[in-house]
Parts: sequence; structure tokens; C-alpha cells
Amino acid sequence: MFELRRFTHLARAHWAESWRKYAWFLAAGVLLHVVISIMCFARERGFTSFDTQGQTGLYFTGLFVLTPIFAGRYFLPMTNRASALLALMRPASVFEKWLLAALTVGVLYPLAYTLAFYLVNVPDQWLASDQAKHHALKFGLDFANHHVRNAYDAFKPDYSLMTPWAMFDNLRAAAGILLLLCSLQGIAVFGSLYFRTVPFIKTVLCCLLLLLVSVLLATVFSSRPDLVLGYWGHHQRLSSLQEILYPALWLVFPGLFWLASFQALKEREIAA
Amino acid sequence: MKSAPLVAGSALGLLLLALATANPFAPLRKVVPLDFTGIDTVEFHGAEPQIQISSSQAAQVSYMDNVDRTLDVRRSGSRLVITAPSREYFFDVQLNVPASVRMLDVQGARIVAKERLQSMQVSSSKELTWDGDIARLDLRDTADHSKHTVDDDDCSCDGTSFTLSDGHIDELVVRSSHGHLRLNESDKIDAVYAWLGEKGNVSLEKARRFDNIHLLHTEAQLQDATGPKPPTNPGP
Repeated sequence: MFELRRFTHLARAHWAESWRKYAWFLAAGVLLHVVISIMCFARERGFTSFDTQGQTGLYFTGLFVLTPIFAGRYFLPMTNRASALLALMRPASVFEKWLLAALTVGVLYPLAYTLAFYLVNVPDQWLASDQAKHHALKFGLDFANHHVRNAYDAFKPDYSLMTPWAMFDNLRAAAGILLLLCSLQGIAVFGSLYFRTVPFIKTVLCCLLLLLVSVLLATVFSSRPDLVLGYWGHHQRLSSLQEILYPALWLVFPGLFWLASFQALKEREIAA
Repeated sequence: MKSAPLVAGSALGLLLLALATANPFAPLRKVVPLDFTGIDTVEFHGAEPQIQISSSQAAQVSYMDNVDRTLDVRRSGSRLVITAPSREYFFDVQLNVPASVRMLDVQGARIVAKERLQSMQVSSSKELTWDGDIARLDLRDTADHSKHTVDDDDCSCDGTSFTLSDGHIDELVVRSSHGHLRLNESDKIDAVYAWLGEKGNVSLEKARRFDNIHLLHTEAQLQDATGPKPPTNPGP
């Protein structure tokens, strides 16, 4: 089922074949970040968008938008019959192919995204911090001449470089974010393997349908979906059964989707 | 048979089932009985409680039991000092006090007198609402408005709001350097003596007369107008 030498060969072959594609994907992300930065700085007092909180918001927005897209594109060759056959006939087990996908999507991409983010964010933060200092100095001089009450607020925002883990108060909040990201990746990978044509659009449509059904169920049963969805962030008092079921569901849900991806890959290989 | 859609479907089914049955667990209320023997003053810090004054109800303080924190209750001479560690979790505190209490010192509250009282002095630094019958009610603003000068046009600070929602009151005394007095049933109050500062104001509802309302320019005038009152017997 798993042989390290075979897995290494598979990884090398996959890397040789796909690194350009991945580099272009990251480059597109970087370009988008640059465009957003220019648009923000062009506004009056645009540097305020790049305080530590702003940087964190931009980082996680990008992570949660681009990571599922990347995950959905991993098995893109499967949509084409010829390239699908080539990928499926590689001398490696289904588990090795699935494991490589899980490592690339779940570990390597988030790391590469973080590095690419800092490539643009560091100059942004420098510039914003410098402009904020300049603004604060000007404000200080104004304050000395004319007493205004909200002087403290002008000096308050923090423009230090963000770190992804700084926003988490505890491990619980970090676990919530990781499991949510893992779930989205699992859904995107499963959708790309299960749907043979236009998988990305079909996956997005299915997610929208799921959202609608959730809202409908919550309305019909007068339930509070935020108790489940916001389990890791809130401090609501839950029953002992809920305290067991909700974290279990959060662990099982992405696990089942990654398992379904494995099964879908296996079934595609058998069908081929 | 294809198992991949079954596995994914079961994940979705579990999620939908959890979402459909997600109902909040009814939080219990934690009740702390209070001993008011020898107590005539209650201080409440850290939250804005709803206070009921009644001799027929058990003296107690209750709050939502949704966090592992407790109210700090201690005695200091004839004062009972209650402190909430966090306003965030203690937003729904209900305090029952007997009518023998003559002074309340709070950071905002909604006070309901369930029986007619003789007199009560309430000091508050934030919004205060009174509902109930009383012979003499003395409201005092303990907020520090001194840092906001009259010339400060940029001042966005609000004064302290005192609302008298209902109840027959023989004499109402309000002292605040920046207060807003709202009388929802002003005709039920025989005499109002209020010093509300230069930025203060009064709003009346259902008023058919104004001769009962005396707005005073200085705090000293308030002393002259109301004068020393003879001590009154505590309520039942």
C-alpha cells in the first residue's frame, strides 16, 4: 500500500510536472495582493488598512479563498480523459497518490501561501508603519497646538508585522480555524474527483445548496447553527452531550471528506 | 457500489443533523442568598443589575450560570458590597433587597420598588431607571464630568441619565453636574428639585402641569430648597 521509494518517485514526477502550474498560481495570488495593496494605499489614510489587524484579515481571507481553489485544482487533469489516464496509470498506489495530494494541499500550499503573503506584506507593513509614524507625529504637533479629546486614539493602532498565530487566544480557536480549512480542502478535493465535468462549479453549487438546506433546517427546527459552526470560538453553555458531539463532528466531518476523496480516487482508478 | 458519495453524504448528513438539532442548553441561574441583618447600604460594582426592593421576597442575588466565575459579596460595616468580575458575563444580574435598605450605590441599574418606601438615596454613575412608589427619592450622579469643560465643543460625552418610569413620589431630588432627567409620569410626582448642570436637561411625558418641577442652577440652591429632612422610619 505504501512504499517510501515509490512515493518519492511519485512526488518527484508530480513536482516536475506541476511546479510551473503551482508557481503561476502563487504568482497570481501575489499579483492580486499587490493590486489590493495599491488600491488601499491610494485611498486617503490608506495605511490604516495595514495595521496588524488589517494584515491578519487579509492573510486569512486569502488563505480561506485561495486554499480551496488550489485544492480543487489539484486533480484538474482528471477532467481530461487522456491526462486522467496518465495520472491514474502512474506506478504508485492509490493511497500514495492520495497522501501526496493531502500533503501538497494541506501542508505545502499553506506554507507556500504564507511565504508568498509575506513577500508583499512586509513592504506593505513597512510603508504603513512609516506613514502611521509620520501621521502620528503630525497629529502630535497638532495636539500640542490645539487640544482635542481623541488624541489617544490617533496613536493607538498597532502596525507591527502580523503573525498568523497571534490572533488566536488559545489552542481551541486555532483548532477551529485549522479544522475549518481542512474541511474546505476536503470538500474541494472530493468535488474535483467526484464530478467529471466542470467539477469546480459543481462543487461550489453543491456548497451553496448545502448552505440553503442548512438555513431551511435551522428555520424549520428553530435551531441555532452558530452553536455548531462557532463551537470553537464561543463560550455558550452546552449540554454534556453537545460538548462531546460538536467537537467530534468537527473532527469527523473533514476526516470523512478526505476519506471520500480517497474512495473517489480509488473508484476512478478502477473505472480507468 | 460506489462508496465515495456515501461517505461524503454521511458527512453532510451528520452536519445537517447537528445543525437542525442545535438548540441552546437552557442556562441555569446561580442564586446567592444574602443576609441583610444590620445592612442599610448596598454597593454594586462591575455590572448594571436589576434591583427589586421588596420585603416579601427572599433577599438574594441571581445571575446566569454560564461561566465559572462568581460574584464577590462582602460586608463592610453596614454596607454590603457586591462586585461582578466582568461586565461581559454579568449582564443579567437580578438583586432582591429588603425595604430596610436606605442607600444604593451602583454603576447604573434598573430599580423596581415592589412596595411603597419611605426614603431612598441612590448614587449612580451611569443610566438609572426607577419604578415604584416612595415618599422621598434622592438621586445622585457619581460620574466625574469635571474633565469635560463647558467650552469643549468636541465633547461627545453623554451625561448621566435618570429615568423615572412610574410610581407616586412625594419628593424627588436629583443632583448631577451633567444629567438628563426623564419623567415618564411627571404628574405622579408632587415635587421635583433638580440640579442638572449647565448641559443637563429634563424631558417630560404625560405632563399636564409644570409647577411641581423646580430646576435649580446650583447645587447650593438644592440644599436650600430641600433642606434637612427629619429622619424617617425604615419600611416594614
